[in-house]
Amino acid sequence: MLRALLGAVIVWGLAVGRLSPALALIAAAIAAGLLWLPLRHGHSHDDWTAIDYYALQSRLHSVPAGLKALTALALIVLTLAARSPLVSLLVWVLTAAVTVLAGRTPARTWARLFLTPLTFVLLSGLALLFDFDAVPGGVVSLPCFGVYLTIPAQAQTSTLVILTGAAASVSCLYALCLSTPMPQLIAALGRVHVPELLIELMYLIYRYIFVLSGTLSQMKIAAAARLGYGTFRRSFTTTASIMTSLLVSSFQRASASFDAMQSRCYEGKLRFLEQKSPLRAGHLGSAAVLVALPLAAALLERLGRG
Amino acid sequence: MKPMERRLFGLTLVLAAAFCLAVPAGAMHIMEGYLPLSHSVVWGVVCLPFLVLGIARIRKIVETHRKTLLLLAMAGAYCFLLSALKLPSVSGSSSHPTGTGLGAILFGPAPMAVLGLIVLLFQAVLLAHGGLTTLGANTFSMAIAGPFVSFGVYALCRKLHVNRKIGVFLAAALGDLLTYVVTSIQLALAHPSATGGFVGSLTEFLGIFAVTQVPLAIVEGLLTVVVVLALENLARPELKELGYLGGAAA
Repeated sequence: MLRALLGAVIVWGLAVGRLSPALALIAAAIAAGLLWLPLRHGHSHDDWTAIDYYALQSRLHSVPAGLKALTALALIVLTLAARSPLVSLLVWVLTAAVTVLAGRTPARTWARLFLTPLTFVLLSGLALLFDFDAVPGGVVSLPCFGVYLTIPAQAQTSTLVILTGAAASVSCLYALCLSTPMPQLIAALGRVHVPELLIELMYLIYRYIFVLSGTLSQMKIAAAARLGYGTFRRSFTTTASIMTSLLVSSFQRASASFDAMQSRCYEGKLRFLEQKSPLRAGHLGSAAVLVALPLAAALLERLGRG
Repeated sequence: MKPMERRLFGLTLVLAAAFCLAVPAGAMHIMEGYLPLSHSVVWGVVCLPFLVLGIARIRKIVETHRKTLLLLAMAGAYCFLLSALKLPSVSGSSSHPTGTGLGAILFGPAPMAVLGLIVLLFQAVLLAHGGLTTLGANTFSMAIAGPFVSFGVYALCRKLHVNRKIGVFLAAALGDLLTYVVTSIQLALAHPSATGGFVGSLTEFLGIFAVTQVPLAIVEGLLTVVVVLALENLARPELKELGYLGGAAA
């Protein structure tokens, strides 16, 4: 709910003084509604494995990870370099379409995931948009504790650029992580000669996250069943003891798995069978189109401006 | 208090509580696309020497103690999972412990930088907390500045013979606070305000995030004390392996 409220304030702040007051209010109301709806309906699936799960399900799963990562990064860099709401919007639409239409990630899941980082955007949007000033100025001035809370017209423009850019980049990030399982990405990093120690640590950490998360959720359920989160004091003790026993058991598990690995001839190298994903012309072509469209838009806009 | 003041006080309390309730876990990770390109690159480059140092350090440990690599990997997974562990907080907010203070005390700051980088990358790709272009900035604030300060405070307290519990508390809490200050500085540098410039923008970011981060730092400090003390009783051999007790016993 607060997200909807924040969204409304930000949209109103962006629109006020540019649109008529009534239109600004309507825009704010629409923003609040859009942010409010998915919250009410979607079942909560805040399990951290959601992205991992959908990445493995994705239709784009077999596209080479390096190509996906490069395309996503190129699009993010392009968005940030263009600094134009229009290009951002185009990138946002394209990457969302790739994720939902080509990757077949359910649209609702995508929307819910997209809203998560949005709270950060909206909160810091407040800081970007509003300014404290000794004298009233800008498009809006609200008296507040002896000074004025103002929205300078300049801040409106820059906030719009930053917020749309961030939204587009997050969409790019989601296009990557909803189509690329972590091991694929680690293998791709290994191919570009990231230090082997790092690669090995990444594989191990990825694996151990799943191992430990099972233990952790059991501990949390057990604690909750015994009213471990009943009061503030008690939930503090519960958290502390879960943190401790999880760390202790993770250490013991590390010892055990080291013994197991050594008895299987572990000599400091982890090798995995990798599914070959050949680079097809179609993949390369679609990636090129995906980057070329916003690039052309950015160039055209620059030409039009200059 | 006059009635008017009382009403104002009540209203601000409700507002503060509402903000705590709504700010999701990991609010301090700078998200994807939020920093200008030049800043992303600069923060990434700033991290490099620390990462090189950390990798060299880990490599040296691993040469003699192969098992330590697995302990470090477990610690990394543990740090990642802490973000799924709800931290109790006065208003019922869902902020979570970062574990950077704990990690710095146990493993030293340099290996923590490497672990932090991996954890942040995983959080970006698996949870969409943070991002790829902001990885450098986030690594600097959370995996480098925080742990190095934690470790410094911890070492200083030991040298001055401050009570162990207080030392651990100060190390974890100050590390957390510094992380938050550094993140605010990064944001303010990237987006200085139109009228107030860098300082104006910095105070705004500090003010907005203080609501969650200051209580979080205190709770994390207390938690770290309990965990470190319990670990010394429960996991002696592993801690020795990590070289923690070797230094602490003296």
